[in-house]
Amino acid sequence: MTMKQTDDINEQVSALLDDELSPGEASRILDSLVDDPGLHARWDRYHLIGDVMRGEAVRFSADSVAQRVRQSLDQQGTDLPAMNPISISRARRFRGRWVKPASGAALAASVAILSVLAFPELTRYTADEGEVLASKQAMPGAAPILVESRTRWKNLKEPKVESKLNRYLIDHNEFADPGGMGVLPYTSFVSYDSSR
Amino acid sequence: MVMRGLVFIFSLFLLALPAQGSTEGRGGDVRDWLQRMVNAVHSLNYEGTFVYLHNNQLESMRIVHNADEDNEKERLLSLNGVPREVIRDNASVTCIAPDAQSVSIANRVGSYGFRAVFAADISQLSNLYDFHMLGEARVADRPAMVLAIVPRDAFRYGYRIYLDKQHALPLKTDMLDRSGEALSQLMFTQLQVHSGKSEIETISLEGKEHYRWELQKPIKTLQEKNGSRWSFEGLPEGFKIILYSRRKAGERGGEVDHFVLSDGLASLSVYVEPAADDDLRGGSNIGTINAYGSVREGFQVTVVGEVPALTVEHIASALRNNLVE
Repeated sequence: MTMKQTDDINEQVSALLDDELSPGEASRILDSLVDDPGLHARWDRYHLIGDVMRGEAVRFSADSVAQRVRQSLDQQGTDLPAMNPISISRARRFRGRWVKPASGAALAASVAILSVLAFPELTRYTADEGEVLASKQAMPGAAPILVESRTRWKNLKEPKVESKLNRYLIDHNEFADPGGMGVLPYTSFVSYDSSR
Repeated sequence: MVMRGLVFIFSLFLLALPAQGSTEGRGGDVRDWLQRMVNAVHSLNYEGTFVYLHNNQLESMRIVHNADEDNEKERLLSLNGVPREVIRDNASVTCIAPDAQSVSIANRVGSYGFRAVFAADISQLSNLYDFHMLGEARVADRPAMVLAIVPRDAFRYGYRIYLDKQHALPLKTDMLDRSGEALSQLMFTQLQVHSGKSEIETISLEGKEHYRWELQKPIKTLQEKNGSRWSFEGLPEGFKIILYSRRKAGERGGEVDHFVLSDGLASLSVYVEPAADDDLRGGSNIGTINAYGSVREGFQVTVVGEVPALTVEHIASALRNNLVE
């Protein structure tokens, strides 16, 4: 494969990320992606870089993305961008900035570092923003995250203060339950978060 | 939490009504229902699942309660988030917190003299709350009677209680603000009452060798407040000290004065100890529980209870140092 061909394919991978290929072109490049481990890895890197640059920090593996895009193509045949179940759209202004210069060990190293920063975000998700995952219009900074809902003392940032208030609360419950056994005097303990 | 307050109150309320003797026919019904509720909560064998909604937080819990003539045993288990649980019988309380990897076992606080202490507050209750029978409803696929307890001022919450018609167990309990809006709601989605005891499984703790096991020492409680350098002036109407204790204050090495105040229904605790930097300054809340902390002459005053924010702040400011005056 000549340098020119490689550049062309890179450009096509980039275009695929940007939803700029016709369904036929997309199908061809996806086949290449599946068959060529090098392209496969490049897709992964481009995708991650784009995500990170846009502050989304959401990453799908090439396998899952290629699979989903292919499914979409197979089912719809046309109108790839509209039917794509997940966002592979790119902010236009970043296009080219990260595609062309991205090569060699320097890129690999930076990707590795970015990965460390980016991956924990995948474990977070909020129901409110869950639909963003399936939206083409995911805004930078609006990445879906999982925040386990826990009940906390309001306006408190110091864990030590919270912890102390929790002890007071449990203590109070015991004292303030003169009947001996209420139905639920310890609901607070079971329900409330008491970070220690 | 909600229930605790209710049961507590109802014990008082039941005593109070005959004393005032002026409740009309409907009030008499309310008294009968509340009497039945208190008995049912303590004496029946039941198990069920309930949801608890507060501040847009929805939690789900399971409760199993067994009782015979001599003893009660209860298990409360969180069904979402961290699977915390509490197991209680007449002698001890075991709190299991997998997130903190801790098991805390405490002896129950002795209940001597409680009724006598509260009896003093009973005559006040009808001055502070209005009691109503609201009608009938259906909760957890069971017919229910609906009662209301409405506060007469802004220093306490109200309640709307749906009692199972057959067993008088509280199927739903709404804690209300003054305008009648629900601040929290606790509702059974499923409830079974058994003629015999049901199994309360032994707790299985995975990796329990890594847990911190705490055996809490019994707290000695003083009945009289004479020993304290602190007193209160200008408490909201009806609130009185019902318990006072002075004890070691954990790691800090100092001592903490602990007052429990109650109006006969709502209750809160006031803690006074040497000030430190991990103390609450200002107000905070968790669900319907409010807390307020401030520093007074080198002492930290922290007030915690299931009462409005207004009340904890007011009571913190009502504390007086007898040694200074």
